[in-house]
Amino acid sequence: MSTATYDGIKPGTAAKHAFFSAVVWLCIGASFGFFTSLRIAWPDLLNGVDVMGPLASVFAFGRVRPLHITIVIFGWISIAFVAAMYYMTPALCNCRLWSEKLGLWNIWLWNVGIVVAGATLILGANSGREYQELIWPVDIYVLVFILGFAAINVFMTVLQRRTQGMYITVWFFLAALVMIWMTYFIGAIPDLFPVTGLNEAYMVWWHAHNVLGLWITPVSAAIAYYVIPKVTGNVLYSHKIGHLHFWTIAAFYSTPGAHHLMGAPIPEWMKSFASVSGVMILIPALAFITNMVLTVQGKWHMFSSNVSVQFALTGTLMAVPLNFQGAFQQTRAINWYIHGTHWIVAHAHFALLGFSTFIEIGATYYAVAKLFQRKIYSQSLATTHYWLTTIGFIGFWTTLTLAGLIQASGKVYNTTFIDVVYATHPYMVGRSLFGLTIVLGQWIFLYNLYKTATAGEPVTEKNAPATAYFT
Amino acid sequence: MGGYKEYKVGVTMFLVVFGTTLLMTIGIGGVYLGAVPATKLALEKQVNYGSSAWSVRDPLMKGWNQPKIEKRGEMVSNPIGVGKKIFIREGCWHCHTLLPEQSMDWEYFGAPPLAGDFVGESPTVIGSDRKAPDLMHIGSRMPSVPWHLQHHKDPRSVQSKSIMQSFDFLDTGELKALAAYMVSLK
Repeated sequence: MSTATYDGIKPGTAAKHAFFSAVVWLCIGASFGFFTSLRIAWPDLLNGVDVMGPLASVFAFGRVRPLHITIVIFGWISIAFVAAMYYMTPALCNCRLWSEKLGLWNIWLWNVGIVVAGATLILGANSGREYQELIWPVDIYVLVFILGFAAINVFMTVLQRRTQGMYITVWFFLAALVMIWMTYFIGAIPDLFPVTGLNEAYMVWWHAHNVLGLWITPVSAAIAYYVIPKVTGNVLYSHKIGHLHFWTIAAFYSTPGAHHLMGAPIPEWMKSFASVSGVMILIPALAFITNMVLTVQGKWHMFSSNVSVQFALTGTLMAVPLNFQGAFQQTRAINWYIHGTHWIVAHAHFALLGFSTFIEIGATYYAVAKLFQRKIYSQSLATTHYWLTTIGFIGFWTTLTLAGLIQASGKVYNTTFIDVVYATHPYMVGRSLFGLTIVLGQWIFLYNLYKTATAGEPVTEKNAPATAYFT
Repeated sequence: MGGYKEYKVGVTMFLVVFGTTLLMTIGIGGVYLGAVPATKLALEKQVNYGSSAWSVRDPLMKGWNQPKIEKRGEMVSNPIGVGKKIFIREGCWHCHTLLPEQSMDWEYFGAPPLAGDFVGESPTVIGSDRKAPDLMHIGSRMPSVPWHLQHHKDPRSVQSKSIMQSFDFLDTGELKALAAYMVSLK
């Protein structure tokens, strides 16, 4: 990397700040998730502890749960996405980031936004709309300073690119930035305009579905499209399959929003339409997985030897069961059985942790090492991180899915509700233990990245291959 | 947009495809749902909760624009509406749904709502994750205010296997409003 400056700021600075902000939020967000799980397993845990007195309301389950969701989705996942955009877009466009200064403003206004959003939530300012809990002044802030600034910077970077075409990752970045802005805006409509009743519920669930469908899924895939070919040194298997993936995401992924309201009194045609188009999500998902798995041909040994490939490929392979589960659980024949149970919580973590987070962690290991021109500080800590996260996640998913099946059968056989609550208690304890495993892994990740940036062995060779950062 | 010239077709196609999906879902669906007429229950809810959609007078969404009712010669906020705001603020809806689903559910938790029952209500807090009993008809199942007050203060004193946290940090007025909201859900 050249030492030339731009805006008086060294290229890559915004990306560095973004990657570290994201990982700090990952640790905090995951820890809050662990805390909420404890309150389900042991509801009286903090009762009677004097220090809790004035803080009892702040650490109530109902206030910390939206905090966990907001920090993980808008702190970790979304900042990691923008970090990847600030790092990968200039690399793929053979130019500098349009404005490092705007990038730094964006990331720090973003961090401030998460702090403000978190503070409003735990102090009880909650809009009551799931996954859109932030109050309307914060919504406007998100649309302008967070999503708006990021989109301007990435679009302007692509505009001044010095390559003839655009790589598939860049298409996804550009499209996703447009789609998340619209999605967030539609989710905020009931906050900003007098929209009520089922129409409001429909917009809120359309938003909740598409934060995943039009932001988390495509950008995670875009990152995998960069990291896996880059680190393995293989070329992408097929751009045609990439086209199929891109266009089917744009066409099919936003339409099944109503499948979250299968039990609500919305018209039957909306449910059926959502259900059928929900199964079509399998097309982009399988196109993506096929493309990635075929790209790795001949380099499968890196799955166990290179931590970046290990994480990115695990995330990609997780997309196979994730998408089959997602496509079929939202059909009406299955949805009535498992809706509203812990099964769904397990599925949500499958998408955000098993698929998206794994790919982003893979990208973070590579990009941070590359940005600082240093080797990953400790390979064994990175491997420990991998196994803690993987075992933790699989255990977490399994216990929650089993608890969900117990709840579902309880629902069908009209079992007394409290007996079902009691029957799932051991699984809630198990979920907390596996959750703790995941949280530990993430703090190790943060420590390893910090040591990489400060004490990693420098890579001095110019144009060193990606593998040079992982020995 | 000079730099995107070579992608003119692609960018146009993308906007057409994405715009069409928006029209099909938010557009047609929204018009259809917006045309549902209000039921008697919906009108009752509007009186109790107020028109609770967006308002500059309530930027923190804490119910500052709550409709007032007369009580012992004084104008006070309708306790049912205040109770609903507390239900939202404390995140009760993260575990309790307000929607018996169109499945076996209605044999246990009572009749599912009609589409018109939600007209004018915002947020609807129907919930998505049922770690705790559905509350749509809780006022019919458990009409006792003292029971609700005791249950919110110390859940395990009335249901030993409950995993609900204690809400003993709410003040008496808030607990009463929450109980009023619970018994109003017939």
